[in-house]
Amino acid sequence: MVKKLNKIVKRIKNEFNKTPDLVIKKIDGSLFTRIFIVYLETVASSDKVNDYILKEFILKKNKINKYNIVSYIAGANVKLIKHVDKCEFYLTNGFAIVIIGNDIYAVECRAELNRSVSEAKVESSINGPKDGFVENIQINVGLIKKRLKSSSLKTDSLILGRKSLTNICIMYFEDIVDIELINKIKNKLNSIDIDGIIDSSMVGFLLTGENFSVYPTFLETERPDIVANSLLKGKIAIVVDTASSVIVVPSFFIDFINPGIDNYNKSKNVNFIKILRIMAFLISMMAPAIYIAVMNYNQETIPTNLLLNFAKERNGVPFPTIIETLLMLLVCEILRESDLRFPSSYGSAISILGAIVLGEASVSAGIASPITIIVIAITFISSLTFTNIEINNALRYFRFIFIVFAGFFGLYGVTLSLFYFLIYSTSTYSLNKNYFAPISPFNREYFFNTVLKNKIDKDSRRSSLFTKKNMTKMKVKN
Amino acid sequence: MLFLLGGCYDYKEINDLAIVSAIGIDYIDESYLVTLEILKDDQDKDSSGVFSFIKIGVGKTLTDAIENASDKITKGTNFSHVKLMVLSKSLMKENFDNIIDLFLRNTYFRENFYVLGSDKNSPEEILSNKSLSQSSASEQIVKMFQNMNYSSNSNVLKEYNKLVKDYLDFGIDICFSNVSIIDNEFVGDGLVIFDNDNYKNTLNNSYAKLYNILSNNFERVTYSINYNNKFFTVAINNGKVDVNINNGKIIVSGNLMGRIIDNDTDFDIRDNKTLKKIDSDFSVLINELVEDFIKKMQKENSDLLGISSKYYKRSRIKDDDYWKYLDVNSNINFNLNKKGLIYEK
Repeated sequence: MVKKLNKIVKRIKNEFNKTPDLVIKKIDGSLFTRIFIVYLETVASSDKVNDYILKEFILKKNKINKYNIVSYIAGANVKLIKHVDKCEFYLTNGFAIVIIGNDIYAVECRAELNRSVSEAKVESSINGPKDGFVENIQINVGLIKKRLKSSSLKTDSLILGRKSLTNICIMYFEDIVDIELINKIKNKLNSIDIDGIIDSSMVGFLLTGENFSVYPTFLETERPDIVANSLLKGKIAIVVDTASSVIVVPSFFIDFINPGIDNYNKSKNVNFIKILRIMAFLISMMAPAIYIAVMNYNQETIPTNLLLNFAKERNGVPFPTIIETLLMLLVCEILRESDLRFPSSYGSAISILGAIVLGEASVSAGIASPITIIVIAITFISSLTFTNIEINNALRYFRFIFIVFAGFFGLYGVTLSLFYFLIYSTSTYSLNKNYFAPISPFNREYFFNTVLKNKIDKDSRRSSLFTKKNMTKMKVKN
Repeated sequence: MLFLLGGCYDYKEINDLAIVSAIGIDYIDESYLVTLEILKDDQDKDSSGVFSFIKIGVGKTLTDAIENASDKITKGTNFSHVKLMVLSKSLMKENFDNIIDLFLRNTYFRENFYVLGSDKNSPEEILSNKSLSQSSASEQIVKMFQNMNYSSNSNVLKEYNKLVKDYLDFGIDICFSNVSIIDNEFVGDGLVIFDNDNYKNTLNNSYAKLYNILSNNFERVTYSINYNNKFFTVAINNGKVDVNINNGKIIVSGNLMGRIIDNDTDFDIRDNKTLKKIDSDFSVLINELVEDFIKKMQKENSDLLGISSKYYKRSRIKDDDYWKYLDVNSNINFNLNKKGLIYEK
């Protein structure tokens, strides 16, 4: 008996050798009864172990035996472990393992390693809820369930990563979602054999294919309200432990242009902003290309006085317009990257340096004309409308395609690039759904949810893009 | 690759272009004399206004003359921003058809530039005249003619493509305004009229006003009547006129409306009888002027109003001489409008 008991502890000890935070506490009970309490002091709280287990065990050690031990454990979450291999999972997840005889119990004594729920930083909005996801799956699932209390909201759990043993929850409304899509996601995730999952983006890439398209084909959001809204539409949320954002699939082009936080504004007012964002996307994508085309090939397309002003401003610039534009774009990309990576306290220094280098010095030195600076500034300001970094990267890809084509063929090249953009966008898919929906193919319900916003009482049906059942969202009473 | 892009076909940097804003064409001693007005792009960046200089080229053909002028410029000439063409009297008389042909074929020229004649001054004089303002002559001329809509309305500013259409269409002849320099200032000086591509005459500004009324293209045309050395002036600002052949006569019909501009007379304009008299007197005046204008057209064999074209569309008879021998009967009714503006003196 004693030999066997030692075997379990020994095995754990062997598995966790060179793990100095492994604590093994032995309590000698009545005759032949030895209790071992094993936990990792870095992930489990010593105070909780003391309160839930040790206090009672030490005081009543003579009364405890393998039949009544559970009643002496004060912890709320106590699990009987049937196989010693499971100990690893529970230990690393902040459980304390209580071993008595052949029986192994796991008691949740998780240390509070989480930051508190704080405001969403990237997707901040003036109206609407302020809370954002944190790096704890339970809190994140809780933030979603707090908003959607129906029992039809299902959560399928699975563990990914041989080394990381990352907990992943797939959340969906059973009575709304397309079950085939759920099965597809589950099969795909179950087929993944990877050593570690560090962030939700890894799950997203593995699910949708990383280099399948330059576009982001899954939405990562830090707002629980957006996830809740997406679930109601029939989309699927994937919550990954230790990630502060939740994946929403399928996600389309327009989801990244007009985010869900628009719902908190009046449709009449927000539609202007929505159209403005689409214009900003087109401007950011095409402005440098149109500028190059007009400056080098299609001078007849702009008013004479403007042309003359352009010519005046360009006098003395040694580079062709395309080189000048690419140089300035490159400087701007470097500036943006440095601004993103550097701590915010350095931000102002970078901004001042950027403003001086771009705005003043390059013009004075004759490297660039003021018009180029204006075009590049408009391009970049327009791109800053989109908070999602991946859509900005996609925008940059298309911007360079447009520039190269405009450099070769002028406005004809811009038209060719526009065709390329449309063909590329319409042939991209997010989990087999057309990425350019609801524009192409057109879907009325989702169009008036994203491209434009309909009045709330008109928005009574779910989009057929995501589901074919339970289509009525709201019953409008006259 | 980036550096290769700099050498693409048709590639031209904007500051390497000489932007031509106007072309003047003269025909002297069987040679074409082309004057190019080129916009300056090397002036002070802070200065407002558009400045220009001219280059002159001579050649036996129009192409030679344009090339000759272009050769004298250090930058590549760009004709896509031409907004004005000034033609000399000699050119209009002898080689007008060549203008239509060359600029229609050449894809480097835009086709919506304005065409003006200049029977008193040479195009070179016109395009180099900057005494009052340093800004480009073409800019001044075009603005002046555009703004004449709100003054005398004797401007007939026609784009080249409209001229080409009239030239090619059956039964309508072309006309455009004439520009002159008087005391170093540009003035709209009448209406150049053609019979097909043959220059016929330059009519005065009062005919240009009538042409605008009869082609229903007017904003504000003023007429005065002398009543015992005191003038009563009205501005016609609304209405429609139709010119057609009917029962072997040229019938001009329609209604015109105008408002009182100046009442120097002692008329009591609140009296309905007086208003009726004024309406009647101006109707008579306008009808007389219209009949005179059409007779003048008949005499010059210049069908500016497209009477033959309208006759062909109605009767399918293709005869562009028929209208010349018909009597003219003008029945335009003039009525004072905006009576609410009439006040007691």
